[in-house]
Amino acid sequence: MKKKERSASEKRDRLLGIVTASPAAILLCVFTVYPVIYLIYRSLFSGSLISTKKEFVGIDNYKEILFDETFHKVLMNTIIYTVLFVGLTMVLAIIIAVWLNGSRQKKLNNMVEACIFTPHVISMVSVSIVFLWLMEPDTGFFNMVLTSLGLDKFPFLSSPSTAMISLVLVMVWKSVGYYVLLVMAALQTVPVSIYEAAELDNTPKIRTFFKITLPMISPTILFTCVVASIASFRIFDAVNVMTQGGPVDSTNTLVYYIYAYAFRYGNPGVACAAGVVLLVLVCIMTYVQFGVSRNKVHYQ
Amino acid sequence: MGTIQLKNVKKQFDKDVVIENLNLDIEDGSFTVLVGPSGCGKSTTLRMITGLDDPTEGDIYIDGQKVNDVTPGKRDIAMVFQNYALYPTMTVRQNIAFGLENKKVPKEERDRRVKEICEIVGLTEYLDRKPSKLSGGQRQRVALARAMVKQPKVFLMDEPLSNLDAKLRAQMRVELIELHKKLGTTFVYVTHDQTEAMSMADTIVLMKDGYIVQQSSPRELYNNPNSVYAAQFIGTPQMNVLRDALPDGKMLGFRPEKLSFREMEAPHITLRVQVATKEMLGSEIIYSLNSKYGTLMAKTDYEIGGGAEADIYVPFSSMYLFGQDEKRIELDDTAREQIKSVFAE
Repeated sequence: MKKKERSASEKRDRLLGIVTASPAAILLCVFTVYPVIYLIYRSLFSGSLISTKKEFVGIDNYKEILFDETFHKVLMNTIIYTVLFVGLTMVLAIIIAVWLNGSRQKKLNNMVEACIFTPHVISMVSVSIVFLWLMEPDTGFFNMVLTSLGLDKFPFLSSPSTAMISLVLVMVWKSVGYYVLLVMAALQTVPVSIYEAAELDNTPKIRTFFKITLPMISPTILFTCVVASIASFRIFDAVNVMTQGGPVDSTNTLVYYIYAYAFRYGNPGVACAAGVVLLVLVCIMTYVQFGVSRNKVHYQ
Repeated sequence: MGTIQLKNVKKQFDKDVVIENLNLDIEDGSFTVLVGPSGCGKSTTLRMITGLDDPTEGDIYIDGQKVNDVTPGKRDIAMVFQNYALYPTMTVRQNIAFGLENKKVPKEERDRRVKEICEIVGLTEYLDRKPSKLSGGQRQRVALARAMVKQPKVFLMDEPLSNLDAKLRAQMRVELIELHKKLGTTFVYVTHDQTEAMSMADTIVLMKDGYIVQQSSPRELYNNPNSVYAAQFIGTPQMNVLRDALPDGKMLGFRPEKLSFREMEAPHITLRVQVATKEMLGSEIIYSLNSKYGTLMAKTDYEIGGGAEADIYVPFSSMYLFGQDEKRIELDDTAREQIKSVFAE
């Protein structure tokens, strides 16, 4: 009798679980699982975006990008961009967050926080347009300042050798505030008494940072690294507005390549194949980041 | 050596004066307990000794050397925190060795000292565990070991037992007393728990509102409190103080364990009371009694029913007399006569 009762309540619980989880599950299927499956499916076909005619081509689209030198360059650009962006952003975010966290000048702190966070809430297109103007080689503000100081003009976005770093700097400027906030939140969870114990142990400041602070906030650092890496693999709007992948493909990145194939060259099959490559790369990168950091990250 | 002196120390947080003018001498090798209610300035005093807080005014000396400008790490002291403050990302071994690494102690000696200390506090099995995998008592031991391994002149402890359950706390109390005997180093211990203070200290510093009320041995503090505050802080239940019984604002105090339901020969006073509540503790009973002068507490092995009326007897030898300013005054013959006449009515 008891067994029957329990199984009835178990059934009710299971039903409740299904009912409450289903809206999220349905949304996930419609907007994530289905598009991924369709992406993979569509990467096996040729045909334009507007025509209903599709032809099964197997892995031809993959072959095309595999032998496309532009794709190689794009892949390399994306990796370079990601490494530079994530590296610079994280180092800056940690330095600024540690400084803000240690500073006792509340008013100054609030002002700095507001200043570095503001770019994060401005639209990427607006930021791109403003920086296009600031970095304009002849009449831009930056070069005006450089020449007024008696220095040489810097080509910024107009030269293949400096375009990528210019793009990275703009993106770091825009995003660093967000990561500073995340790191600061993590820093504030470190109990003051641990720092006091370190002080009593006569620990030099640098050693305190590397041996105590950094390990204590390592879960947040890993999280921000993963999020920043994924975001930088998907960089598109800044490239589209500021450089259109140029000059000479020096800032052409994976998502811009996908966009160009799908909407400029009218070849969604190849775009989808590149999309699948992006998906796989992001998965591998995230997996590697978690794997490499497994022994370095301290979860409490 | 590990003497500590605080001279004319003042501590102010913004406009809030926590300690006005503190003078304190702590002897080398003593087990000194700073005790008092929350906010009395005992932790602040300890933190000023460690150097984690700077005094607003006044000087602090360790071993006769002024340490106001010496950083906490160079004061040759060790502290055990209330929440242990272990480094959560390090193993027990790393936690204990961390201070030695900073001191550039060679690895071999470091390992030897860590091993030695861990054997003393019984942590050898847990050397490679992280603090999160240890129980409260084991964490407490790691915190102790971390302090001990530095072989400091002075051990400072800020309510180190308050996060432990009652049984473990009692056990750790004994262990700390033994440890103090073994090391012979100066211990300064902060607590709000009078039982801890009484059981562990050889000197108790009773504090209130940032000043020292009384500094003496536990026995002296119990037998000869210098004020109503000191009298009532030590002892459970607290001392009975009759505030309205005597003329001129004088107050009469006697401890609940010193009054008797049995008639006595020694000179005494007698009070008529009615039993309000009765708490059976096993070896003794705590009574709450209603009297003409308010509620009195009694701690005795004498059995009497709830609601019953009885006479209680308080010997003069166990009485304390306090003046209007709540300071202790001498119970001389005139006072005795006065008390006798009041209670004879």
